[in-house]
Amino acid sequence: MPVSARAEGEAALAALDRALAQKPKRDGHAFAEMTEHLCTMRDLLIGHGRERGGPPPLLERLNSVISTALAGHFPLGSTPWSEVEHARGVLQRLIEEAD
Amino acid sequence: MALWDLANSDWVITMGSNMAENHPIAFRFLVEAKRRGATLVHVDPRYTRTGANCDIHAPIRSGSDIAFLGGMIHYILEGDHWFRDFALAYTNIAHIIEDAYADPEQGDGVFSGFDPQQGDYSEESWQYKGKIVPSPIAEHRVQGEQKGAQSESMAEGPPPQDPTLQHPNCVYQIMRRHYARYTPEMVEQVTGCPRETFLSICELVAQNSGRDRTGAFAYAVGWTHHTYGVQIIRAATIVQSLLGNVGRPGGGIMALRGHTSIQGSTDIPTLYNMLPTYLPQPNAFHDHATLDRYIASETPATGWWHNFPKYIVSLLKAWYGENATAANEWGYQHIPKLTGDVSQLPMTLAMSNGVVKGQFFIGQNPVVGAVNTALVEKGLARLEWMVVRDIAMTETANFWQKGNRIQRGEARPEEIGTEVFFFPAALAAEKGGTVTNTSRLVQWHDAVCEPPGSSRSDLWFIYHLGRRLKQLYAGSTAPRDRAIQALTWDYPMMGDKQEPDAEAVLQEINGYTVADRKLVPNYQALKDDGSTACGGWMYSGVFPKEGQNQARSRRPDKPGGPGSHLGWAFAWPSNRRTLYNRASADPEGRPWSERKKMIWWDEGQGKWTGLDVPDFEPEKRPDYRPDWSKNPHGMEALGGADPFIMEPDGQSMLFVPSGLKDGPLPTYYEPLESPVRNPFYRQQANPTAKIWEQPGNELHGIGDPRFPYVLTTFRLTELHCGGVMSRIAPHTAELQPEAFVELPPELARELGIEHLGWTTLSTLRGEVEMRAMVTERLTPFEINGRRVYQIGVPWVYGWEGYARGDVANVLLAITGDANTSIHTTKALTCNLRAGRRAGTRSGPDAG
Amino acid sequence: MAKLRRGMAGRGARFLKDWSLPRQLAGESPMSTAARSTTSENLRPRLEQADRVGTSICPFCAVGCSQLVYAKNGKPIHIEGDPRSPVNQGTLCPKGAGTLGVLLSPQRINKVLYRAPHATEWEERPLDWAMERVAQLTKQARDETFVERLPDGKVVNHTIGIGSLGGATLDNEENYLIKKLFNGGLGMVTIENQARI
Repeated sequence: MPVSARAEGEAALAALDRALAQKPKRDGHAFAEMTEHLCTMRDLLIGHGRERGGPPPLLERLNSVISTALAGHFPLGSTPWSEVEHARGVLQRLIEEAD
Repeated sequence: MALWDLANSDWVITMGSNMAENHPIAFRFLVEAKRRGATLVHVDPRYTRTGANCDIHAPIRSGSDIAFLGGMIHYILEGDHWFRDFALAYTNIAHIIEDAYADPEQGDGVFSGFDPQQGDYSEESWQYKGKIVPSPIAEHRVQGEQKGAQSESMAEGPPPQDPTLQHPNCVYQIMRRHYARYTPEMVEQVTGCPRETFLSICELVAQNSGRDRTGAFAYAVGWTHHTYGVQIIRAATIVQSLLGNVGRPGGGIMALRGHTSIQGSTDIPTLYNMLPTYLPQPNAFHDHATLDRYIASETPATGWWHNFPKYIVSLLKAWYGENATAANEWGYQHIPKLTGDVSQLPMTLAMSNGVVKGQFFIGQNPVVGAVNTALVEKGLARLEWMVVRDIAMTETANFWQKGNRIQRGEARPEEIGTEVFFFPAALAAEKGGTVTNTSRLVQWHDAVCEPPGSSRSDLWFIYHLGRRLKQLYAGSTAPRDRAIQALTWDYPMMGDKQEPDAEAVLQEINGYTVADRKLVPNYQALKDDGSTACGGWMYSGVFPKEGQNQARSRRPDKPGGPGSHLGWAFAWPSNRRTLYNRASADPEGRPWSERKKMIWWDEGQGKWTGLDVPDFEPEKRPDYRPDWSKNPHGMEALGGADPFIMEPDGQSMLFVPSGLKDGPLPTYYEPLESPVRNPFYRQQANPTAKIWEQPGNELHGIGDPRFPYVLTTFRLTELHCGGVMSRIAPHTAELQPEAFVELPPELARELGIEHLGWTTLSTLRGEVEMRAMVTERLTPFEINGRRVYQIGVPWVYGWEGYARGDVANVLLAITGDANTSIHTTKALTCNLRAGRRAGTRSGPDAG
Repeated sequence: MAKLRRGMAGRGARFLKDWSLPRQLAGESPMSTAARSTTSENLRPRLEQADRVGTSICPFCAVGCSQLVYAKNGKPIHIEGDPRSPVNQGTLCPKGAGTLGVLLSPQRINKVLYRAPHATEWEERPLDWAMERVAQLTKQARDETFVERLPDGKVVNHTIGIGSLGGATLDNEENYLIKKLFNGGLGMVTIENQARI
């Protein structure tokens, strides 16, 4: 994983932790910020993969975190906080695995 | 109701719509009604040509509709003006609600069940006592889990009722308490409408509803574009159900929709939350993991929707053909599941956050038509690629070259990496197919001429894109690619352009039996065992047999005929023109009156008959009653005098126990941006409104002195919506050549604005300039003892076409209705000043 | 000269006799014979040239007015309200009456336009090339953003990396195939149209 992608992941994790601490009832800036970083991270991984000509590792799991982030950012009904917490664990492992 | 049925109304209230200007041909039926003696009313902030053609114009401040309609409900209940025989038999007015229910009158603007942490409601205390009531509307269920299995309680016996209406928690008593403060004085104070005008309208509808007389409401996006838009319509539903103006000739609520097939695109939805004809899109966080679980949770025990399994299995069979088998859940796992709200507003925000890599725009121009369009442009610039299909250049397609951000110097084309494709599209006369009008009329249009050059129909585009994608995925062995491989995609092609045959697609929507590919005659023929395929059950019957495309039928009634025009095109479902028309007959099955007859029970024939296709089981006797000892399900649980067959007990819901995000009864809130405090409650705005405040999308506080004026947006007769099709038409563009702001003379004098002089409007989202149109069509309102000015701007302009002007939607914030996520464009606050905006460019369009 | 004058006078007399206004002033009904002149006699309805007529539905609002479209050599030459329709009974509003102007507008674009990333201008491209490129990009974006399962194992089989907007101006058959391909085939969930606004 490119270094910059890891930095994006850490920034996303920090924003996610803020969201989990505040548990905002509506879209707080934290979710928007987290999504920004996750997507930049995704695009860096994709760019890396396209250069190497193969599917980038970790991408699928990162995408699943983005899909869960969407559930926090734009919830249908109540925010599924337990899913979001689960996604936090996956994101943390993604960053660790990248080391 | 059919549009032409408005001519049978004894009164029509147009509210939230400027019908004479925006739906002029539909307005003919109001003119005809007036000729026959009807009284016409227009409730609107502006005195337009609609008001000019009505008997009464009632001015109200934008967004105050629920105070007005709540006042009507108050008048009807307290004056005992309701149609007792109708409402007692056909609505839930006598139903008893759970003891735990608490009204906003007790909760200072909030219903029981509100969770301030999550910002949403639990519906438990809104239920019929001892029951769990399922919501019949798929759109409601996407935001809250369906109670299918739990709705078994509805099959165990009827909901508790008190026909004497004395029980303190029966709907009648709850409504009386809820609307007690919606007095004519309060209506005047909140809406600015003089109480005499308001009362004259109440008297009109009360005196002209009942056995012999009926009336209708007509609305457009002036009702839907609010954070409580659904509740405004609900308030009208309550008025009409109390007065007996539902399912009857000349009675109803007419939605005047904006685009040629906007009804069709809701029925056969290019929408995120529904599969064709109102089946819910599966949700990852609902009990939808398998088809069995999805069916169990989405199938209500009672009412017509109990047939749901037949419709979903037939849809899967239409989509995946022989690859859909009982063993693989008919391909259910191919259907993607939702994790969040991806409707247009979140889509816009997600785009600006970088979520979306590729985007299709198919005949839609959000840089003009969406709100906060500078933010829309920011999102477009983050896309990797985008496809625009339209007939002429759109502001969306060339945002990278001429957009607001380019004009303001905030971005340069060289910095925008979006790869853009513009595909020229064909128009209606250049392709065959069906569109569905606002009263569910599915009408075929012929291909009469050739689309020019490389222009193609959208059918051609999507079909050939699908063919190419199926080829690209043909060799894949990945499980995730099985859906595209399994998808049925064989449609005959015609001519040298290889245009797919739209009739073949319509036949798939209609449905067929799998074994012999014989078209099904109607949706009653559909099965849940995989033996039938159907792309949209509600449209079944549009193509009942080979060579019989009902959408092409052109046999109107002769003068003096029944006037339901059953031979003209096809109205879903089952070609019936008036939904719930069982209510046009009394509980015994006799017309309420000779003058207002529509369908009735024919004892001799043992079936329902009349001037329309009955919206009822054809042979169910009026005196049929469910045998509760047998635990009846589906339609067996609905009696012969329960007309509202999509509801779980066949009764119209004055009080809605399930499905609404913001409460079981319409209650008054101020718009999110308002110059005044809510006079009813401490709760200022809808507590469940969709708000996404983020940089670039800030809202104005209550009474913010920087933004003192109420702003509403509107459309013009000559220019249509996002504008592409009408700004390129020489005649219509010439008639409305340039953007303007409409304001009252009093405000013009205060601000030193001259008629036709330049003005600048601003909000926290942006700034636009327009010429002033100073008219007495707008008058200042006295709200809560304070003078409030209302102004208006048409939103149809952009920088392309012959008629040009600043994009008004730059001013608006992205906020949404609690239930539908529809954007809110009709009531916000802004500033206005004389003179042009900073950084005005030169050029012909800048004048 | 005199001959010329007589000739002119003759033409003038013929003109005056043919001109409809004096006859109308003299009291003949302008609704019938008094409107007739040599010029009007020679006028032919545009519709006579049509080699094809078909029924269409007005492309603007949702009232659903029927139109009769007349075409010659594959091009529209005239559009009017269909008098049979119980919706509009032959009438059209200013937009509907301007439908021919939309179909024939000089502002219509007949070619595929392409803007490369960071380019400052459009360029024309063949339809086939653009279709293939869009198919490739769609596949790439889908493959790079597809999610089979959420972190806790829930199956979603979706992508939120591609969106589609539009549909209320399209035909039912078109919307059906869009939803079928994008949602049922590719797993896209972000599909919306004007019905939401």
